[in-house]
Amino acid sequence: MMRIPCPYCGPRNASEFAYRGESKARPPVATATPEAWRAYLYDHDNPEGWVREGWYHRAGCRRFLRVERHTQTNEIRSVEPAARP
Amino acid sequence: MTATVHPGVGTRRLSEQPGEVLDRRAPLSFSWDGRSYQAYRGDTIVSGLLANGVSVFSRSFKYHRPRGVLSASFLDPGCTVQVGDEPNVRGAHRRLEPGMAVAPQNVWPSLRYDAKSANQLVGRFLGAGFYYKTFMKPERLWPAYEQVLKRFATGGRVSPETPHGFYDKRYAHPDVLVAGGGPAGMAAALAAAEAGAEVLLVEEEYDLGGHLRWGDGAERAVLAELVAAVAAAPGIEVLTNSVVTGRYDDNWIAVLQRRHPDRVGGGFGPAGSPVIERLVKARAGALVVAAGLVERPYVFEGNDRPGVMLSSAARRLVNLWAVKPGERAVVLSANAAGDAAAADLERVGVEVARVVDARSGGDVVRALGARNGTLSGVELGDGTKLDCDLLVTAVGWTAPTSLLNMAGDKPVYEPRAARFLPGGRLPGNVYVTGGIAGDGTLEELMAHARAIGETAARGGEAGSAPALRIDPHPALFKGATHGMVDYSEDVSSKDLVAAAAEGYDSIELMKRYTTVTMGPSQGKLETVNAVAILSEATGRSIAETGTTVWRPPYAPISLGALGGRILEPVRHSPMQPWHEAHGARPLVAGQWIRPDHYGDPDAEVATVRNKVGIIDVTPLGKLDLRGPDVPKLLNLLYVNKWSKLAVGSVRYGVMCAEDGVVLDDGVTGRLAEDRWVMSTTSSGAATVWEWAESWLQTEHPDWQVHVTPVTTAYASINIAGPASRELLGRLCGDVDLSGEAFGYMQVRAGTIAGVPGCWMWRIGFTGELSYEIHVPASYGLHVWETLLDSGADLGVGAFGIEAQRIMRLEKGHFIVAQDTDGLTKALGAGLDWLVKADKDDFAGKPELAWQAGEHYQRLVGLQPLDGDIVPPEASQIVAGETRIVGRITSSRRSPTLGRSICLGFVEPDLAAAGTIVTVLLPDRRRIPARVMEHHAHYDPEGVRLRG
Amino acid sequence: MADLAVPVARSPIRPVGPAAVIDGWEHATGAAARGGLRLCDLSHLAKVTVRAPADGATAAALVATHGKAVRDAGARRLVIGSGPGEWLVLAPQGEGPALLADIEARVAGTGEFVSVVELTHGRALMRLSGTDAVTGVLAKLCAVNLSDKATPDGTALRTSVAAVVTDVVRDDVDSERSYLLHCERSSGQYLFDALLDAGGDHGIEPYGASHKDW
Repeated sequence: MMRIPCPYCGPRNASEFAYRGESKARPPVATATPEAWRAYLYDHDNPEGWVREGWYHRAGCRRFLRVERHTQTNEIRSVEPAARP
Repeated sequence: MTATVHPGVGTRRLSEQPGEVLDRRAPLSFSWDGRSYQAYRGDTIVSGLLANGVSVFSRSFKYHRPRGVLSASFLDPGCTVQVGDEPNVRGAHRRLEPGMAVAPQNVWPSLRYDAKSANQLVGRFLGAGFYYKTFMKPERLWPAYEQVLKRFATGGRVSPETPHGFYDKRYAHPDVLVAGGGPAGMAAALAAAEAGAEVLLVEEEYDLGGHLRWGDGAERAVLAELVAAVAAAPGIEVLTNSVVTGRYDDNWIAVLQRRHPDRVGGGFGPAGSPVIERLVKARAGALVVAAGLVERPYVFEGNDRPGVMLSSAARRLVNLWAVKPGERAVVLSANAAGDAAAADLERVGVEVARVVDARSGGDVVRALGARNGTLSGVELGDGTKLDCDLLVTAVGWTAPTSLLNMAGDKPVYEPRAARFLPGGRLPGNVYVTGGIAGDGTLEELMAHARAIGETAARGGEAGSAPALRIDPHPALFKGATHGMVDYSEDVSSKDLVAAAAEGYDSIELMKRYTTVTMGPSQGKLETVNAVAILSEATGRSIAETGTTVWRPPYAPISLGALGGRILEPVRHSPMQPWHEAHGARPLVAGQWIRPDHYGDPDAEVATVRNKVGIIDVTPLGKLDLRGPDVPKLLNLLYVNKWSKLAVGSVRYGVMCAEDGVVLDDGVTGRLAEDRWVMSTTSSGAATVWEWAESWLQTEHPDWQVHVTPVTTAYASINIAGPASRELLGRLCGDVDLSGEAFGYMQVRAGTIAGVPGCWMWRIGFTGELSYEIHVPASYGLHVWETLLDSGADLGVGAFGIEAQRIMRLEKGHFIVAQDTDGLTKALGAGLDWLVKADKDDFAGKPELAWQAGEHYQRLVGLQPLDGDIVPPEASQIVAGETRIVGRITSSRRSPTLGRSICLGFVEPDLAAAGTIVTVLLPDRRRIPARVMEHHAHYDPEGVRLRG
Repeated sequence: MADLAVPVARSPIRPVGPAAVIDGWEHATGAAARGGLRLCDLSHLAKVTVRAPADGATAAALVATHGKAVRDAGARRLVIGSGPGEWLVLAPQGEGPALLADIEARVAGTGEFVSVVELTHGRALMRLSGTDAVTGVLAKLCAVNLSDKATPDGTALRTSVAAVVTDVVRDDVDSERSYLLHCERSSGQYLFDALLDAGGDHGIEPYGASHKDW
């Protein structure tokens, strides 16, 4: 099982976290076209390589995290709070 | 030392051997195939049988050839037996216990007279791809084929009466985990422990020591030193009869700790029962793979006859279990292990007719058989035929690289050594040492292991330890004749050559076509032979041919061990003791155990409609919301507006996900200027909390809102019915309950039954005048019992979920995820009135704006014209023969109305009140049903509720 | 039916063995020998959760940082840094309202956005104590490294114990190894039973709390 280095709790088993999918910006509600909105909802890049994705530390600090993970090796090179700047 | 038969415990038992693991003071009896035998404590099933002259333990999978000992280890493919009710026991590994009842498996009608061995005569029909070719056409005969194939199925029997075993699980966090307790593994563990590491040392056999255990005196002396040092070292935990079954991401390592018969009654598990298996989930800082080498069989005609065995098997039988493996032996030797086996055999009085030296061109062409299929002689490369009952082969080694493969390495073939070696692509936290890593003297290998152990302890580079040398070894895989390659799947070299000729000429294709390496031994004995035969057939090198990928688990693991402790949380309300004492039928709702009813749900409905009832609704989600920006959060989460909710009021709201699909619903009340409580559905409590947090943490970290889940801080009780005001009034003196002072959709705080800090909401799901009270949970049972006690004269009764579901359906209230599903957007659920598209933003807003112009089914109230028919939930609503135009989402017989009532979805053109639709029942009847004006079937104006 | 004139508070964990109502709470009163492995229910303790900026004046006033537990008020209270910007404060039975008021007073002057919520009735709390085997028992249910090196006395962490989200506090008593386990109330009985089951090999004993346990 993969281990996620939680910035608050330290490394924990991935089973403590809920996967939230690839991190994507929410289109502006007032102007979003159906195409843009549905791309936000349903289109995922699913790359072989580095991906930025959301994880929620459900059984720990209950923080939403943004994780950079390599999809082939599960190497994690950064974890930070998911708050948008 | 001379070979002597020890009276009473077997005809082939040798006198005491210096390295034996037997306790000669502890004879035991066991049975095999119904006959009783004697052996010693320390014997395996197979050594105990061999000591008694029994040499055939199974029939092979396809041809039902007799099979005996090959490796005398866990991997031995011919020694799988049934022990009592436990099938597929590895008989060459499992130790005998007093009274053990052992039986052969895959034999019919018996081991000696096996009817299916006739398959040998039709062997040409069972060649490569036999199943694929034979049992495909015609399709109509598949059931008949299944009956035939079942007869071929290997494996034992499991009784349906088998009691639950006790399986255990634990977590471990060693700094260094060493896989393999031979000399290299022990040396690595010692060095790591000296460097300050906590070490977990895992050995598959019952004792540490690896090949030293069946070695000579000097080797046993080293073994004794190592074992003593490991026992004395602080920080080394030793698990024997345990195996590393897998290595996963970040050195997450599964260790299967097998049964410890020595500990039966020793306090493990309930009532002293033994732990059958324990799964240790280890997160190791470093993994040191010291798996050693597995001796490889040689492929030639008759190589699977009982009496043909590996040199390591012969040495183990003689030295560990004092068993004489034969009377007259021929030894085919290509290395020191073969020579040592010959010496061991001579020492214990076996006549060694010939040592055939493969290093100088000697070869074995075929093993000759007696009428019963066991070995009677051998034909050598020079044409000589020798009589013998034991043929020992020592032609080289297979590197068990599973753990390296799982760690991402691709082992490479080294032709000089005729085996695979680590490929140098291991992650930084995986190390390898011992025979699997290279060659050397015992001292050199242990020096390497010490260096690796020390490096692993400090997380250093594996390359900093000097590399082991690679010794030359003759490449001997298959001789001049065809023989068995995969003993457990009965796949011969002839089959492999045939498969290659048919075009299955890559190892992965060949594996799947012939099933080679797919049996219980999983390639540990036969992979390299299969690769070598394929490479010879295709003219490619072994390196070019490559191997199949080794995946976890390395060793068989029971479902019980994987299941381990059963950890399924259940949740109870504070009133659970009362529910249990009053005959509540439990309803499992997620983790919650709730009272479905107390015997008669229709009577419970009548109590509420006519008098007053109370229901335990503790699982209702409750979130305490504080902060100045709570209205902003509510506006974002709900489809309706929240800015102007007054203190003391509650409001109904619906949440949608970003795709516009209904996520949850409930009421939220404002208890004070900056304090709100949101209620959610019982099943949605965790989801909504997480949903709120995700918005606050990711999109609006600047908003000042704190969300605290208080679902179970309060016991929640709904008091419903015409007498509910009277009942609550008897227990609550500090709140004016009159309709004028405390109206519908209001919230108040007060003291109930002497318990301060309660709040009460005037809302209701049942359609009756009702109060939902929330009391500090520790007092839940007190308040519940007081309500029942005080309301006895009012006819108060408890009601369960079923009565509530009936009443809410009578009132037409939908339930999220019952009447809605993962496609139901808000407008479809009839929430047009609630969705405020003029709000700037809320979750799912764009989809709901677009939904207005889309084609979507509508939720409607439905009544079958025949009120005695209750269409099962999920019945389809159809038009014409097959067109589905809707579905029933909820249905019940209403005890209040005396007829069936439903909620359901229909196409928009069928949604007008009075439309007659057709409901298709599971028994294929089609019944007419009327679309109603309201969702509510009872009191649609809500007069009773607001009373 | 029990006497309903006076409200009785009950833990989510049903008492094993003899029980009595003490100061309005129902308690198990059975004893267990010190030294053995044992488990007691402490759900009657007052519990308050605080949310505030992780590094401001409130945090400084509460002393405990995330991951640590600190004794306060002459050891009558335990302040647990249960999360980033989140604290759990435990106090003796019946002191919930006083604790709430005290903390509210302490944070009032900070000008920070702070929430203080009493959760005495919303959570289950238990203490697991005994020999070093106690760690082995917990390691059957909890994947976090509990070695002294990784989790010394005074450590607080939230993780999954027996598949229930649980605050685990290493809180040794008189140098005896001890853990406080705090979870959402409705799972309390389940967690208590899971610990009894996991400790069965070691002869774990349930008992009623004494003042020593708090």
